[in-house]
Amino acid sequence: MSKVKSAVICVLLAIAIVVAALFATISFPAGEIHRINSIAGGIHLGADLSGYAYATVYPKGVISQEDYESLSEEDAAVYVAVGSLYVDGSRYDDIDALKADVEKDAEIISSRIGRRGYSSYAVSVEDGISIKISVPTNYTYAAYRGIDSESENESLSAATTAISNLAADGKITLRTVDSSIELTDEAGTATTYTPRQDDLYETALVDGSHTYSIAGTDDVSEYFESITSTTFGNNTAINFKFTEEGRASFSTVTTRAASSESKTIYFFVGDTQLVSFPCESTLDQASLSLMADSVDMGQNAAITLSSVLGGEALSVDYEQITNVIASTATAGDYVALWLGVGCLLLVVVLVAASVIRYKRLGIVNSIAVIIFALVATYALNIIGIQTTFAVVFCALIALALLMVSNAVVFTEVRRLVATGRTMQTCIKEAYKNVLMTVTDMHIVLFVASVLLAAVGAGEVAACGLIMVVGTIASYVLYWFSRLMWYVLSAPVRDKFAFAGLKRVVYDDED
Amino acid sequence: MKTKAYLNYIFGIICAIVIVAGMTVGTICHFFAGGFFNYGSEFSSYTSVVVTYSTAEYAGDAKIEQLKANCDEKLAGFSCYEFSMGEKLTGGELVYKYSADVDGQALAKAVEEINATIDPGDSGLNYAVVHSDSRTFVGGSKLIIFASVAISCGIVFQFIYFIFRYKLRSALTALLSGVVNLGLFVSLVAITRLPVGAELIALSAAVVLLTMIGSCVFLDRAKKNFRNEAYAKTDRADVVAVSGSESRKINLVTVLALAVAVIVLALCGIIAFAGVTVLVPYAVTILGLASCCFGTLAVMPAAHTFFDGVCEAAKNSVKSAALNDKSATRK
Repeated sequence: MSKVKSAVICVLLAIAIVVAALFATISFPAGEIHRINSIAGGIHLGADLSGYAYATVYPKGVISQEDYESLSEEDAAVYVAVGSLYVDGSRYDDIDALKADVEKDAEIISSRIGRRGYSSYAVSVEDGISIKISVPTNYTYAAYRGIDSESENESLSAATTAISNLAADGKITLRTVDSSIELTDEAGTATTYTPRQDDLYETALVDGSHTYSIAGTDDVSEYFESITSTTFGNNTAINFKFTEEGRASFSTVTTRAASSESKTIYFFVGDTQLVSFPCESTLDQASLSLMADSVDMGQNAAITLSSVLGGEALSVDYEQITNVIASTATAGDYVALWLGVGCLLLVVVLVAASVIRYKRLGIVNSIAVIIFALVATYALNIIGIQTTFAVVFCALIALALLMVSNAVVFTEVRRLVATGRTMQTCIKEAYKNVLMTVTDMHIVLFVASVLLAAVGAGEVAACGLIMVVGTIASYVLYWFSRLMWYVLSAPVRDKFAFAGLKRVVYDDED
Repeated sequence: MKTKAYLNYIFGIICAIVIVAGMTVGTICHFFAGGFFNYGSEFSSYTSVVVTYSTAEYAGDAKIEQLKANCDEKLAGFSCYEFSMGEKLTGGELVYKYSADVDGQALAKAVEEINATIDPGDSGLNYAVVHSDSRTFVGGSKLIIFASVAISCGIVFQFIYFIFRYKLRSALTALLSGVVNLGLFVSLVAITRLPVGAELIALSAAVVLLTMIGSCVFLDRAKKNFRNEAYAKTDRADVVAVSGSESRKINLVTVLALAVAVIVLALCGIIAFAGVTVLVPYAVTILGLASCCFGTLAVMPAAHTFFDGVCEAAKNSVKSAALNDKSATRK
């Protein structure tokens, strides 16, 4: 390779790295209001780095001190103090029974949230009669630092919906906003069907409108054999599998819905709306797949519906959750920033160590390290992996894989150089000799990571995902190092000195 | 290199002692001290003090800091293991968490003192309460099951892959190494009683992945050395020892480099928090790296020597049986 070609490739690569690094680390203003966040600023943080979004759920008839203080003396008289809370004595005559029910419900909610796959979460019973639910805020770094209010609101809204949906109490009902529906049978006879106004009439609302049970007095749980969700990319489908009787009953419900003005069936658990199903015609099939508006919504709905279907309905009526509180990270406000600084420091140390150990060949290794760091940053942002300390550690293991691969081949080159061969021959031979070693390492790590990402949940899945990306990046960069060795050493006359080695000359060569 | 066979036994015994001790401590603690591991704050029973404030009286960071300083002063006599601040539209909360056995009456008295000072306008919007009788549910059993299945699948895949690539004996070594390193890690965490949270599961997976890298490096070296004519007349145990020492540098440097990286991140964590209570995940990670280091550098060559010996013996006995059969047939 000529010096010019080598220089052109190096310059282009340097420009690409600098541009990628700029976008990765620096945010740009776009107009007066909007700003384009840096890639690093758009990385979602786990609870250990950005804290929890939490809400306390009170059974109906249980109030906090703040609410108690605002009551008149007459109203306050019926309340009994339990810890720091107040219980309506006229509603609950047995506080211990209430405590037992709340504890059982907390376990059910904990199990539902566990299925949601958060990196961490907590469900606690406080004062024996209220349930505190904490899930990660899932803030991006920019949102956590308060410089991206749009993303901050989105995250909080998602957390509020998740807590509200997963803590939904009551039975499954199918509802409509139409108070009467005109039906026409096959003979053309028109009849009027009046959906039932049940005990959820006052509370189960859709956009402020009252809803009615469109399935009459049926126990809707008996319609379904299973309710699951399938997520692919940014879409989630909720899959309903009907029982034989359920199929016929749901067909009747869809006939009613298709004839209604709203043409929509709303799936409720208690007074919480989980899914809406636009229904234009009668449906008579063994299963139904509904596309959810968002991944979060679809998963929340499927988990809660499936939990109630499995007999895990909450036994106490709880107040609706309207908003959640976002806490700071317990490890401090700046822990995410300092973790980033630490990672940057490690990259710098690794670059310096490479150059010291391998001389100019270390530059090849350094380029691989820098590109790996950029790939990891972009992957965390694009895939939306919730970053925790464990995820960062797994990214470091993937980087270690790249370093080990390069170290194995560099050691082999060093060994071959000692046998007196030319540098080109040594490099070619070394890459050939360690090909299967390096490939084995990557195959094993790749498959194990895929398994962690696919089978694991929460933080384990996130670690698996970053390892999948890291392993692929490591293998590609391993071969990229080979290319860059060739490119960077092309203009250098003494190829041995480039790698910090000395040519071994045996007497018989003279 | 002459094999020091007794070292293999010593490493094996140390390993077995640590794992048995860890499992014993964990099991005893499971029945008498609340859990196999010392579960961290997110899994424990606690008493908390929640100070609620309204933005009407406490607007801006300076006033909130002042409120926090006031509460800190009143609660100074109690050992708070976790503090967090929460924000909502109309105000926020300061949450102090204490262990469940804190003196409830004294805490209630301190909270009364706080209440006497934090609501100057008597709006009723700024107040402190003590939440007692609180406990958190470990609802993540499914997370643990899924993670265990995933980790096991990974180890089994490596086993099957190594059978084809490196023979059964190497596959057995890799399988044992993965299990032993994970066992060492879990045992060390159980023995040290470091408070652990959800990150323990992810770090266990990381330990297994790191062991896989180490076993690939070592077993590849062993495979190459067994094929090397220079070692044709060397005792097989010595060849394994040579392979161990040749791969030791890379494996040791990898683990040490990761340990240094974790220490650097821990130092950054200390700077961020100005305290050492945040160090638990880092300490747990260091335990994981220590398990990997000992398991990969000491136990893996010992295990390979053992499995290689067993497999060779089996191979030789099959061969001699076949020869005997042949000679018997000829006769």
